[in-house]
Amino acid sequence: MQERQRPNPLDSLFQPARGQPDPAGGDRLGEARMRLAELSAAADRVLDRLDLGDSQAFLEQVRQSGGE
Amino acid sequence: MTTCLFGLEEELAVSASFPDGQPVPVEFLAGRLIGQACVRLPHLSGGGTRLFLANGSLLYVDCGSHPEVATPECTTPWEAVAHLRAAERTLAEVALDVGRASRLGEVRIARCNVDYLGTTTWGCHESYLCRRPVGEYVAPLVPHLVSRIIYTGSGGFDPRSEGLAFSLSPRVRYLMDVVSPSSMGGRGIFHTKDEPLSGAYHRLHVLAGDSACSELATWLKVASTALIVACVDAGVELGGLAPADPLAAMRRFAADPLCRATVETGGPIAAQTTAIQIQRRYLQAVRAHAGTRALPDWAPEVCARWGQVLDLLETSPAALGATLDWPLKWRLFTDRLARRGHTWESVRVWTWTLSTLRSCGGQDLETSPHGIDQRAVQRFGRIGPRARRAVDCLTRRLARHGLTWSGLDDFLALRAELRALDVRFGVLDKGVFAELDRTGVLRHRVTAEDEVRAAQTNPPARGRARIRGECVARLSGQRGAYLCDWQGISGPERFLDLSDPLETQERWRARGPAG
Repeated sequence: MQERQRPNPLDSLFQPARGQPDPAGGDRLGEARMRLAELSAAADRVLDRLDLGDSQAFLEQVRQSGGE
Repeated sequence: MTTCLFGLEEELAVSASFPDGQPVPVEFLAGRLIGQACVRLPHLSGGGTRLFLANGSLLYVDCGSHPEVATPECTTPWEAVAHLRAAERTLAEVALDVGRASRLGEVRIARCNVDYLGTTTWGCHESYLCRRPVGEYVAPLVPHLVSRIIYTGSGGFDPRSEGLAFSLSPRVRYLMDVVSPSSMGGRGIFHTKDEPLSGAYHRLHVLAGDSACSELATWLKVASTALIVACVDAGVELGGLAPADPLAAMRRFAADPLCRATVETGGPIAAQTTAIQIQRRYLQAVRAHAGTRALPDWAPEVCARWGQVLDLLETSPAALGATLDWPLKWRLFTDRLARRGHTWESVRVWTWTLSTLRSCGGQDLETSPHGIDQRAVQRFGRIGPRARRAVDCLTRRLARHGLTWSGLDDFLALRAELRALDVRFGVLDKGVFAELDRTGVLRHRVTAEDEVRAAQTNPPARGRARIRGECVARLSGQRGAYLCDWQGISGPERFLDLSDPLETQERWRARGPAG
């Protein structure tokens, strides 16, 4: 399977932020930082949409979900 | 080039509710999952609840009544990740069927690692084909298992903590020894079980790992460990840094999201080392042999990415927030804390306060099902002068941080919310990670979508898994007549010997009169 061109999620982190000039020796993690801000905004939307309900009751249900 | 062979077993939590809100017994759910899988998927029975599927994998109910998937034997880390994701996807599809057919609504299957209210864990075990007796891998591998959690850890909270102590790998708290033959109680960092499931080789069974959602985390976990095993097989001197107390070191590394914690190394000259330094030493040794016959041809690519991850962890672990599990959870939890008016500092103070109260109070501290709440503190303070002094002392300490006991119940609600968020994170298809992934903000994939889809039905291209999968696909219509195992397939009058994991041909032989 290794013959094909594979996605490398790390490559996109070592880039200047989108729309910004390459800082040449400066902040090589600009894209990563920008992505984190997007992540926080997306997480807020996802968690607001998911009904988290009664956390304690949920944990109790998981406690009874088998496992080692 | 040498061939590495490895596979993953993932333990999963399953839950659902009856319409009245009562939990469905896990034994019932696990049975329905297997029953539905029998209907939906071509398979051969492995005996009991074990179903070998046409992609060479195994779906079964393990002790503890949880569903478990075991990937086929794979020869590249990409293949292993694709097959694990394929197994999860297949199980999620089966769970959807069960929910519809049973009118239970959502049947939730989660990669959750710990449960927070009991002592249950679910892990992701690894198997590596190895060429030496398992005991010979203890010294070269333990420092790796201890330190790799900086990129393999699922993230979460110390399940034994009274409060919220972030952990890179919550299951570390359930590792009780460095070396152990047990996979249940008294688990060790290194598991000495040597059940080869093959004729001429050994099988290294690693049970210290977490179930991760990030493909990169699983990929690097398998890839780095397989390369170290291959180095040992080839007689390569790893010359690594070994913590003097591996268990204490693993707990210390797990508690440090900055990845800067140091531990003492063993040997005649004591020194301090970080998890990153231990990993860099391994990487250096592996890289020196990448591209040689001692290691598989994918070693150079793994070394490049391994180095990138270590560089990022050293300069800015937070930069991996969209890429690895624990930095992502750290980000989510930090945001959630801020939204609730807390900081990691206030969480640390509450955690310390509750732990201290627990150790002061002992049997005298009557707690509610939620743990130590405000009423428990008040009751404890009335027991006698010594308890009063302890509570007063803690009250003053809280005040120094601008906190009062009136904030305790709010902290307990936060604790339940974040623990539940952690457990919901890895729910297959509908969890927080899956939802975030759909929004496109994550960068964790190492496989392409078509690879995962293909792995749902096709076995790996090499080794006995290919033969097993092809036979399952061909014989599943006669499944009552055949019994499958990792090492072979038995039919009414013939037997297929797959005891060689690297077998290349399907060679049936007739059974003798004795069967």
